[in-house]
Amino acid sequence: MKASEFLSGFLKVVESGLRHLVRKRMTLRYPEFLVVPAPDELFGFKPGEARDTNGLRGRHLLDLDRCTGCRLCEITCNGISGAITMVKVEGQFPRNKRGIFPSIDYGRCVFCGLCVDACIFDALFMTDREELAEYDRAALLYGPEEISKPPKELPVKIRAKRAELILDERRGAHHVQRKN
Amino acid sequence: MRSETGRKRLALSFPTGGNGAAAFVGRLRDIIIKSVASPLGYVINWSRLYSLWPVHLETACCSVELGAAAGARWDLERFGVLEAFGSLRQCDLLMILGTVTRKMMKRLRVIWEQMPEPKWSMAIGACCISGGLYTDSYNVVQGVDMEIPIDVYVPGCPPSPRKIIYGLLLLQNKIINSDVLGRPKRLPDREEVRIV
Repeated sequence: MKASEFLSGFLKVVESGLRHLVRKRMTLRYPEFLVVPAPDELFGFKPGEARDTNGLRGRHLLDLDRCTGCRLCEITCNGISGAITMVKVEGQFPRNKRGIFPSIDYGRCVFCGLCVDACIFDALFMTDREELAEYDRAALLYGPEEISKPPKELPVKIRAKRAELILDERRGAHHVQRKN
Repeated sequence: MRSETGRKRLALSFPTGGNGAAAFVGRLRDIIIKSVASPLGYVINWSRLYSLWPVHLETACCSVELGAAAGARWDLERFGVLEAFGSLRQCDLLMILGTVTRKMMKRLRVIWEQMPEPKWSMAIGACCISGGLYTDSYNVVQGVDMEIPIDVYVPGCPPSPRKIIYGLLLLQNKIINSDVLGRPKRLPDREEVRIV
């Protein structure tokens, strides 16, 4: 090997190493930042168009006024993981005379979204809330009252700001905070 | 409740009263804990929660998500979780990722007994929390919390890196609210969870 070849190879290595000094870091600083696809977009099924709407498949959201207690979600889930069981809720519901609503065990749920597809009354949706970890196994069981409320805001110190991924060839892929 | 039955705390097995060598060791341990707990307890716990070394017991696809969480985009090492470990006896966090069969359960218990106190465990994925897709299977353990104690449950099939990191935040909040021996004084609420 000639000395000039060795020197040019050495310089190439140093140059590619130095380039990483000016590159932005790829890491998404999760508890402060989060990539959210679109605001308030729920995973659901549109019967007229026969297609799913976009959205992350996270915690469910149940509409108590639309649910008729037809058990279609439970029947669908029985073939998969058996996370949904119907429980009775006290109160008067005009569309649901028996008053039975799905309760979901998130220790069993596999977030496949088939219960949302099976719901022909547009009562079941999925939100983008994925922070479902618990200290207690029993706390993973969500009753109808719990899944009928929209997910709570995260605590102030870990409330995630919305970020988006920028693919920059010169400075490297990185995340920036979204304005809107 | 059910999970506490499997917990064996070797450090607490020395008697505190009576005579003999074991009782002397027990009394000495109490004195050392009392002298360290009040001035240095917070510092000890703080250093513990940012140097969690996990044993990742990877038996199914959840391990791919832990790999993604350790990668460049989510970077578990920001929280002090170093995935490359030397020995089980240097680790203090057991991450159970995936389906645990009845044969694997024996090995899992051996791994758990080998780890020194204080130690914590995370059940990640539906399979090891409750059996998941293998509900009513003849050879899959229907929830590892029947055998060993679990501190944090992370649901999902498989859980995304975001869920795993949130479960880790919960575990860090539990550790900072523990005493020097690693026993939780109280469990923080879901609204209290914050970056420690």
